[in-house]
Amino acid sequence: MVKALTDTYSAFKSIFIGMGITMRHLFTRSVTVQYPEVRDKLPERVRMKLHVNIDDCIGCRLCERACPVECIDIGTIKSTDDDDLGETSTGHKKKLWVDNFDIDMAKCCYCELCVHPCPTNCITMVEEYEYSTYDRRDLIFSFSDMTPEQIEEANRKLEAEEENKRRKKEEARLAKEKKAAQKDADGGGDASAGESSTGKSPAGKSTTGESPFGDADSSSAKSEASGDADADREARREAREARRAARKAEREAKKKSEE
Amino acid sequence: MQQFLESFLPAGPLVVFVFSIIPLMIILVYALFAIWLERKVAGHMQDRLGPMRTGWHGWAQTIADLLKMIQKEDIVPAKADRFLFKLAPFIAFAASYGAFVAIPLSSGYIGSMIDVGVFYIVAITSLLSVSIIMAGWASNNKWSLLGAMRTAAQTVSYEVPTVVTILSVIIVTGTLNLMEVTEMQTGNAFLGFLPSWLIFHSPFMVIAFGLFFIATLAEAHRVPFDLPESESELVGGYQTEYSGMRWGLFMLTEYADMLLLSLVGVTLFFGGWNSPFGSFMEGPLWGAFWMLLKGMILVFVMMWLRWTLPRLRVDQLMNLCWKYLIPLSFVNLVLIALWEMIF
Ligand code: SF4
Ligand code: SF4
Repeated sequence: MVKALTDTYSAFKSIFIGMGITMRHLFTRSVTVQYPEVRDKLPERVRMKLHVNIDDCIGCRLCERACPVECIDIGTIKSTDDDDLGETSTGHKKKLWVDNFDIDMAKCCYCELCVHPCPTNCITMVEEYEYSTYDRRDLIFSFSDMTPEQIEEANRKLEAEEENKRRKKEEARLAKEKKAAQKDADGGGDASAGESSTGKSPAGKSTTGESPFGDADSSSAKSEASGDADADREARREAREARRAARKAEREAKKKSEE
Repeated sequence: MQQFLESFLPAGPLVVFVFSIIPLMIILVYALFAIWLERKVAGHMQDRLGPMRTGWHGWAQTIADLLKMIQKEDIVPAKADRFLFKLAPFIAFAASYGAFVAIPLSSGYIGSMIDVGVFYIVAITSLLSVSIIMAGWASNNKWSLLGAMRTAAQTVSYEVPTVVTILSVIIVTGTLNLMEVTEMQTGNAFLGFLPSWLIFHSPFMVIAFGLFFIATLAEAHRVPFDLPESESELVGGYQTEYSGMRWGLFMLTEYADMLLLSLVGVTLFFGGWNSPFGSFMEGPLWGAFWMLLKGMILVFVMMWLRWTLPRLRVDQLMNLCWKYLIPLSFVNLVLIALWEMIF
C-alpha cells in the first residue's frame, strides 16, 4: 500500500518534470535550417567543385599530372610565332592554346592535389555543391573556351609553321651537304652533324602528326626524362596520348559528318 | 436550433440533415487543424519547425495530405476478408461520430436530449473496439491481429475506471443528461469567484478528473497507451494493411475520438459551454466557442503528453489499470458519495 503510494507519487513527479521539459522546448528556438533559403556558413577551404579560370591557364598540365585518379584531361596546341596569346594575370607568358580542359567530377576524390601545383593559381575549389545530375556523363565539366574553328585554325597554322621550318631545315641541310660535298672535294668528312639532324627530324614529325603539343615544350620534355626513369608513368602518359588522339579523331569525324 | 433552421429551410428531411451534419463539419475542420497542430507541437517540442512549406507555417499541410490520400490506390489484401475489411473504418468513424449526438456543443445545440446521455456515449464508443478487432481480423495479418487483440484487452480494462469515475460525477449531478449536467454548472458559486464547475466541487473531483483523463487517454489509444497501433513494434497495428482514404478514416476517427473524450471531460468537469467569467461572453455562439476552446486545451494536453512520455509495455498497461486506477476510482467513488451525504 505504502509502496503503491510512493510509486504513484514518483510516477506523477517524473511525468510533470518531463512535461515541464517538453513545454520549455516548445518555446526554445528550433535548430532547423530552412535549407534552400537559408544555408549554413561553410568553413573556409571547403572542397566542393573545381573551377578553372581558363584565361590564366598556361597549359602546363601540372594539375593533370598531380591528379591521382586521372580525372583531368588537358589538350594543348603550340602557338605559332606570329600569335601572341598574351600574359596571365600572374605575369606568365602563355605559349600554348588550351584546346581541351575536361574535369570529370564523377571521378574526382576532392583531394585538392591539383590545386597546389598550378603556377598561375587558376584551378581552384569553389563553393558550389548542388551539381548532381541524372547522368554521370554530365559531370564532366569542360573549361576550354576554344571553338572547333579556332582549334582547327590553330592546328593548321602550327602545321604550316612546322612545314615551313622543316623546309627551311631541309634547305639548310641540303645547302650544308652541298657545302660539305664541296669541302669533301677539299678533304675531311663532316657527315656526322648532318646525320644527327636528319635523325631528329622524323621524330618531330611523328609527334606533330599525332598530337600537336610538340617536344619544344619544356615540361613535356621533362616528363619524357622522368618517363625514362619511371616506366609506369611513361605507360600512363602513352595511354593518355592515345586517348587524346582517339578523341581528336572522333572530333574530326564529327566535324566531317556535320559538314 | 432546429426551430432556427426551420425558419429559413423547408421543414422535413433537409432540416434534419443540416442539423445532423453540424458536428461532422466541426470534426472535419477540427481534424485538419489538430493534425497540423500535432505536427507543429511535435516539431517544436523537439526543437524542429514541423511543416513549413505549404502556406504560412505549413497550415495547408493536412489538406495536401488529404488530397494525396484521395488519389491513392485502394488496396485490399488478396487474402483479406473483403467485406469486413471495407466495413471496419466506417464502423469506427460511425461509432465516434454517433457519440457526438449526446454532447451539448452549446446551450442551443445538442443532437438529442436523451436522458441516458453519458451512458449512451460509453456504450457507443465501445463499438470502436469492435471495429478495430474487425479490421485486425479481416486484414489476415499477424501484426494487425496482435494490435487488435491488444486493443480489445485495453479497451475492456480501461472502460472500468472510466465508467466508475463518470459514475462518481453522476452521484453529484444526479442526472445522466449532459445538457442538464452543464446547466447545473452555470454561475459563480464557489468562494464567490470560482465558476461553479464540478472540478471545484470537492477535492475528490480533482482526483476523479485525473483518473478520468488517464483512462480516456487509454480509450483514445493515445501515447503512452497507444499499444494498438504502436508503430515501432507492430508496424501499424490494426492499420497495417490499410491505405489511402480507408486509413484516413481511421486517422480521422482517432482525432475525432480525442475531441469526443475531451468534450465529455469538459462537460463533466469544466462546465461545458459555460463561460469561465460568469455571465460575461455568454450565449449560444459563445457557448460553442468556450466548449471547443476547452476541448482543444485538453486535446493539446494529450499531444503534450504524447511527446513527453514513452509507451507502456502491455503488462505495465494492465498493471496500471487493474492495480492502480480501478481501486483508486472505487475509493474515490465512495469518498465522493460520503462528501455528498455530509454536505
Ligand atoms: S581534387 Fe584530386 S581527384 Fe579531384 S581533380 Fe584535383 S587532383 Fe584530381
Ligand atoms: S596547373 Fe594551372 S596552368 Fe597548368 S594546366 Fe593546370 S590549370 Fe592550367
